[in-house]
Amino acid sequence: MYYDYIVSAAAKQDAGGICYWGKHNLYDWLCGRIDACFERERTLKENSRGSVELLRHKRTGQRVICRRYAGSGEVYRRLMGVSSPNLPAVFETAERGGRVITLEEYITGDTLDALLRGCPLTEGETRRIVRDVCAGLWVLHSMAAVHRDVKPENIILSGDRTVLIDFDSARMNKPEAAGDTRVLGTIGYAAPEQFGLAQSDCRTDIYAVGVLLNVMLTGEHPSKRLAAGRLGRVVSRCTMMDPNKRYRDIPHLLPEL
Amino acid sequence: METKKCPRCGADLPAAASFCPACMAVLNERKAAPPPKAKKRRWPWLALAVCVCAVTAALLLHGRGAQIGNGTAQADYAGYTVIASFNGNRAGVTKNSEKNVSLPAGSEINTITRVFVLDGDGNIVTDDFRALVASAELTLETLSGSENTVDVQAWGVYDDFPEQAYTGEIHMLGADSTQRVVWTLHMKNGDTLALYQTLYVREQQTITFTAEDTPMATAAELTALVKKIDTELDKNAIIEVYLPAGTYDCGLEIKGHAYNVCGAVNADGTPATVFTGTVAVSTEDPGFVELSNLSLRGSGGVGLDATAAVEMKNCAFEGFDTAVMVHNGAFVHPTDCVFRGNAVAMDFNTVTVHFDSPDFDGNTFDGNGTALLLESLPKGETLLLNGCVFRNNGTDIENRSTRGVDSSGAVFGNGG
Repeated sequence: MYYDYIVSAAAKQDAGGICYWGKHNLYDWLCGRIDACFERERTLKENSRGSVELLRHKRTGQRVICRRYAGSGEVYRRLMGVSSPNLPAVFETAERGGRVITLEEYITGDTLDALLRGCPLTEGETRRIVRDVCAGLWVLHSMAAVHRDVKPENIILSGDRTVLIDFDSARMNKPEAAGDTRVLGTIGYAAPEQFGLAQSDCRTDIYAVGVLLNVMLTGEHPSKRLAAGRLGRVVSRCTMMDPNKRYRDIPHLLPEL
Repeated sequence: METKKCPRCGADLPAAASFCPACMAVLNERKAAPPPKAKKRRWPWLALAVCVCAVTAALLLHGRGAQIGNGTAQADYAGYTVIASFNGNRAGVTKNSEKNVSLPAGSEINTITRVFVLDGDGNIVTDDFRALVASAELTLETLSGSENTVDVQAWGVYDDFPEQAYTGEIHMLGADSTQRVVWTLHMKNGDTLALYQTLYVREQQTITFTAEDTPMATAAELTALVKKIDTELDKNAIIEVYLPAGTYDCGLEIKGHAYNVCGAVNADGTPATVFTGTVAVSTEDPGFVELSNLSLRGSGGVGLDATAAVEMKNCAFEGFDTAVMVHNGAFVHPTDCVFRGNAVAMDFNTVTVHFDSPDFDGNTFDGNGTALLLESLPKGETLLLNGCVFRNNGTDIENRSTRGVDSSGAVFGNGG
């Protein structure tokens, strides 16, 4: 046996009964190596789209996140080429027949959701965290990707580092498309265009940042209670129904933070 | 078929692989993402800022000698924002004017109320503001329920909380009571600044399960019991589970309730109830979790995965990568526990805590890679390691956090 891994029956069939390393076969190789080299600690999330598991590398003890979901892995694939303190490192990603599997850095720390439970943050703290989230989003936007699920549960504070996670809903921005084909993202944080009104682009994330900013300051969605003062006006502009009236991109939003 | 060798460990890999699963080496080149460059602001904002300053100055002049405070936990004064908070013990401030406390009759607890002061840039200040204050006072007003079960124990400037302008301690017993908490700051110029919070104390029901009245001898029975508790019982109740001696070849997931999980003990007092999997205590829990007389034995992985407040007494951990992992707002308070042969015995990695108890009394750390690792823990009362024993560990204490550790009462050494 050349490689000590388990090749799925489907992969063998695709390869005519012969193991080979074609591009599409990376998926089976990765599945096999995960079974061989890692052990599952626990399932962090599971729904109809897929699962997120915490794995432990048997030899080094290093913990990693394994995501399996239905969709496109293009954003994860592009993220393998960059490093940013505001995004988790993506070690490997592969897809096959609309199924994606990816291994990424496990970030320990507090989710922003846990911090916000019952206690909104101050302006100073909010600005710092949102600026870091924007830095993470800028990496995605620079590669023509949109996150589409910016919310407190997907933001981890690890020491001084703020990390934006979970790109399962992310997609590449394709201007020719008339509207998003599927509603993804989290209700409350999702921009109107994510409900099929228009194609999502980086301004979709600007909308979610506006909602996030408001929730951090007031504990509530801007439609219920808008933050006071200048940051409230920033929230208003971020969450305009018409994307053309929002900040056009992250560099235009940053000075207001 | 294109393949390549891992440059670190020599494993065979597909040519398209970006990392090596055998040794975790990253193989592809990664470019550091440049940070976004902010577009410059336009000058009219400067004019607006000047106007805001002028209006603020006018308001301040108008407010001299006044009673300041609008019945909430926050007030603006002399360019400062003054906030009363029950939480916020970290590098930052959280503003919350209400707190709910549930505890059973006969038990007691202290909670802390804090006064934070921020300058115009949102930075925490203490001395500059206190220079304006003649005296500070913390009082309670009973809004409903029992009057005699909640009282102010102390208040003042606490060295352990350097970011808080003032700190107060409120003591309460397990009985229904709603209290208005009032911070009154008498300023040197005659102004009075008042901040208001509300404290809701509720008596908590306790529901007890023992091996005599409930099947829990096997892993399957215990799992079924925990599931039944989670789905069927009042979320405000405290759940007490007294486990029999024996080995559960599984872990345990505790969530949704305040729990007291108590194992059996051997004749020599050591824990006689054993788990071989991870015990996970999650943040959904609204109260404390107490674990006592439990032995967790692993072959790697995590022993106790805590994302909630845990009191831990007479527990033993052996053979884990991380025996106790504390993260996501959690705090674990060990007393008389034994950590033996773990890569890391206790790992604190959280930037906020909702419960804090600094007396780590009588714990033994023996033969661990690292005994006590503080990756991240907010400032607060110094951790006291009185009566703790550290021996044969690779590293006894590694403190990368801002929390102080006092090991003067601990014993260190090898052998024995």
